[in-house]
Amino acid sequence: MVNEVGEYHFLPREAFSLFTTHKLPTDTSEFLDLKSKGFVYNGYLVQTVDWLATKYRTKKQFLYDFTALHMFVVTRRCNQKCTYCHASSLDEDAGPKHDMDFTTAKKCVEIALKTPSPYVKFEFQGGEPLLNFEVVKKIVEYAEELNKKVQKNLEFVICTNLVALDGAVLDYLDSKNIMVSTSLDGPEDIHDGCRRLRRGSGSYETVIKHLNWTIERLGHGKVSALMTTTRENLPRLKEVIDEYIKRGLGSIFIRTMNPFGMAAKHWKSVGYTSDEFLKGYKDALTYLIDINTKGVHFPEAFATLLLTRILTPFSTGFVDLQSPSGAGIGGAIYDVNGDIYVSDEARMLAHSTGDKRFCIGNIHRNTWKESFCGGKLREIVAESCLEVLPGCSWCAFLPYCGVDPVWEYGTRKVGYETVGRNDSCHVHRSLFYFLFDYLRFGKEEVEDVFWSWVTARTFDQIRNNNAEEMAA
Amino acid sequence: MSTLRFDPAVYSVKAVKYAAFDCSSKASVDVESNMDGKIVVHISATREDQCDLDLLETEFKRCVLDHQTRIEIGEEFRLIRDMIIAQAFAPCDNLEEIIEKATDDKIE
Repeated sequence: MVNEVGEYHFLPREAFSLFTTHKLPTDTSEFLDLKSKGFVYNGYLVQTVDWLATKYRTKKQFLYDFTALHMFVVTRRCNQKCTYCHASSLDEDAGPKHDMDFTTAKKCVEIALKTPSPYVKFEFQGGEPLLNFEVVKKIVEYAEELNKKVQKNLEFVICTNLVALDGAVLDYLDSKNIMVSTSLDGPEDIHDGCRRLRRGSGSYETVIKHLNWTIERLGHGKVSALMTTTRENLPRLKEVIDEYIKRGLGSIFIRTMNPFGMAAKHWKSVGYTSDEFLKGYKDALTYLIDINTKGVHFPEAFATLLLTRILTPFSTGFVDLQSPSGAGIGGAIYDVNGDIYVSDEARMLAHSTGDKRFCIGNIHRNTWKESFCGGKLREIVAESCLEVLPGCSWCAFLPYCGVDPVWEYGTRKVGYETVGRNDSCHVHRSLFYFLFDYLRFGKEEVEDVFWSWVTARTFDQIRNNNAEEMAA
Repeated sequence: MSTLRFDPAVYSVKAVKYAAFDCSSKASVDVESNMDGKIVVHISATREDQCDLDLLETEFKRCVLDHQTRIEIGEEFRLIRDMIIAQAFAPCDNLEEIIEKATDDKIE
């Protein structure tokens, strides 16, 4: 059973029958367990409701700060031609008209820093942002200048394939404390299967060389990598995990591939069904749990996110899976021409189909309030509340789940598929069942691995902590 | 052409019309009420590649159910959603005024 504030409890069938008919004796351990989690009360109603309200507010705390993540598409040009590119990037020689100019960039910074959020992250994307690094530098410096007045907790991240990295770029990233997020799909044959340079050769050798250089210079804590799950690496996720560990990366994030842009065009060669994904994911998670119990601290990021929601009362804002969606209110993206979209997928939808329903304004024509507080964004967000969606509103996993309205709209097949019945729902529900099966039937050490991920401590630290508590 | 009948005690005209709109790219849909008060829907395919009337019927019925469910859930949980959205846009709006208006409770 799960309640509105995300507390869960496994109840034996007989006790569940008694519970649903209000006949569960109040002196049983089951009743006391349920009372401690807010499923039942006997006396102290006001205090119970207050406590539940506090927990509910805590769970929804990601709503309190408004748009913290601002992504800048500094160029649509790219030096790679990835098979599944959802950014529909252009040739690196496509010309400066496909770059964000500084006039546009300045206005984007001014709009972005109007956010009421005290925490602001600027993320540079493309195409390949290193191909327009001069504008990246100008954005950083202008933002720092404006920030003297607005006093945000400001962070910068650059999402780069690292191919065009050189010493001067590294020096700058280091001097300005800019974090690096790159892409690594697995060992060489997997990575080069989909991520090739424009001139046709593989990119793995260069990426690994520059990745090592970047980690050496900036430190492990400032560098991360993301993989794109494809037909190529899905049955070989163990090798991908081993590659990540070998390269000194701290975690892996295994998620379904966005079916937009080039991925849609090449789906037959790179795509897979949701059941194929689930099988691959479960095998990978089983492998990860095993190596974590053997002393290798290496979390899977998506499981960590879901487990944080299940095991702790804390809020986790993850724009792609929260209720309401973080589209626009958690993060927004500024295209090279100043168009503001609620997400990168929204931008891709517009580029590939011409459908700009998720464009909330343009920095040259609209104020911050018009774009971020206008009716369009409110409607997009209101339609992404699971609490009023069929299938979701009565789902036991509602407190842990969410919806991406752009993904749902963009992948809607012929016919009408409501959120609570589609592939995305199937994947998320299966993952929740999988994690809860571990929590219910798994060995104690599995839960210890989960807690090590959620609390960012090692498996041994969790075990030692538990042993000390038992001794006490 | 196919004809469907919906009981107005179960399905609202609004849900039927929303479904008709959603299916309008594939089907021509006429909505009327008959002598018994039932909502009657006549469906015919508008595209040669969508001539499977059974499929159109199934899709239309699914659409109606989906919209009806949305309407009912929306009414039942409208207040919760409005308060969540109000919180989401709180930095832009006066949150206390919105909650007071939605709940008729004065917030001290």
